Amino acid sequence: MGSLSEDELIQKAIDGEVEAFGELVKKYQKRIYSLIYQMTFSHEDANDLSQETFFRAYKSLSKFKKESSFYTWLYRIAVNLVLNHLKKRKNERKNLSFDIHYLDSPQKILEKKEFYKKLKEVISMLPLSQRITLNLVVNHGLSHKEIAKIQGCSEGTISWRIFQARRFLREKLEPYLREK
Amino acid sequence: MKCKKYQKFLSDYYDGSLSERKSNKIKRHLEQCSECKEILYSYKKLDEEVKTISKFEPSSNYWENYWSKLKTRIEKESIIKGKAFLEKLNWKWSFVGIMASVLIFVIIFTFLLKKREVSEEIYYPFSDQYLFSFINEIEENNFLAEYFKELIFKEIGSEIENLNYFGYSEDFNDIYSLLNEMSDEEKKIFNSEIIKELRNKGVKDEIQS
Repeated sequence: MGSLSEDELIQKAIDGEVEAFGELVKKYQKRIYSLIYQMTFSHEDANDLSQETFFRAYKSLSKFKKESSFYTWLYRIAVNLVLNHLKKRKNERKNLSFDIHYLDSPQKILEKKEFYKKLKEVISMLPLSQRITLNLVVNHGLSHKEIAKIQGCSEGTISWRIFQARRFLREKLEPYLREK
Repeated sequence: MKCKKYQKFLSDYYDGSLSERKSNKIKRHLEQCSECKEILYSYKKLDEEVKTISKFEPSSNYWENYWSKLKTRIEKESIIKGKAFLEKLNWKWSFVGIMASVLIFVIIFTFLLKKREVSEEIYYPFSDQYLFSFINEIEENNFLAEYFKELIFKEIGSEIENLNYFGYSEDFNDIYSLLNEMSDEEKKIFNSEIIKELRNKGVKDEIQS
């Protein structure tokens, strides 16, 4: 099945060939997994939600219209799932905001490990829409246009979200960045 | 454009989502503005750090089992769906089965009832047991015997002659033979007319009791 195009694999999967869908899964599993991991920083969440993403994609494959690319469609499913998942954990942000002021003092951040911990915390403080945008831009190298399709908004909104996210990160991590 | 205005576009400039004209404008500004250059550098630095913390590679064993786990779930779902469909189908077919059984029962019952009626009408008098008891009864009853002879002759005498049979006989055994030789049509006449008459005279009750 390796020689088949993505469209052919999709059609075969719709026709009931599960293995054809398997090929699509193998192609995108790492990207979807990392997309979710980068949003949750949890292997368990990345595993569960990525499996759920593919499972839902398989169930609604016949509804997939080729107006967008297959991966954009998959990303959209994953993003919606992760958004819902994170919304359910609303108190997460409260729990993470406890010691963010430590970042004002670069002397206290001596080890990189500690910095990464703080960076994760700051990212977790971002509004979900900004966090997803940051993730898709930085880790997945997607254009603002592609992200706008995934998130169902305008390119201008994406530009604004990524600008706000970067500004927030800079503000919170500036002392450290200056040290560097 | 003042510095702050440029700064709003630095993020888009860094992502390469600006038009060529705007992008060139920012580029020119960056050559002479250290503050904006520093912001741009911080974006680059932050992106690198975000990428670093985002890296997480599960074991190769994890990816080997990834699809098989998903496949099992998909197949399980299909089986459950299939079962649900069959259950739905079974329920429907059970209903159809019951209705069909009822229908078959009604058809068979109607058929048997009809057959019984036909049997009574045409063939019932010709069962050996019935006919012997019938003839014996008539033989013991002069009135009925006379009446029977009269009816036989009246109703089917001409047919008997046409059949080149031995004609009217007083011997009831011959009559019995004669009855056995009758065509269905003759039996019908015998049943519908003669037996009806005899029954009206009380033969039926005596025989059946």
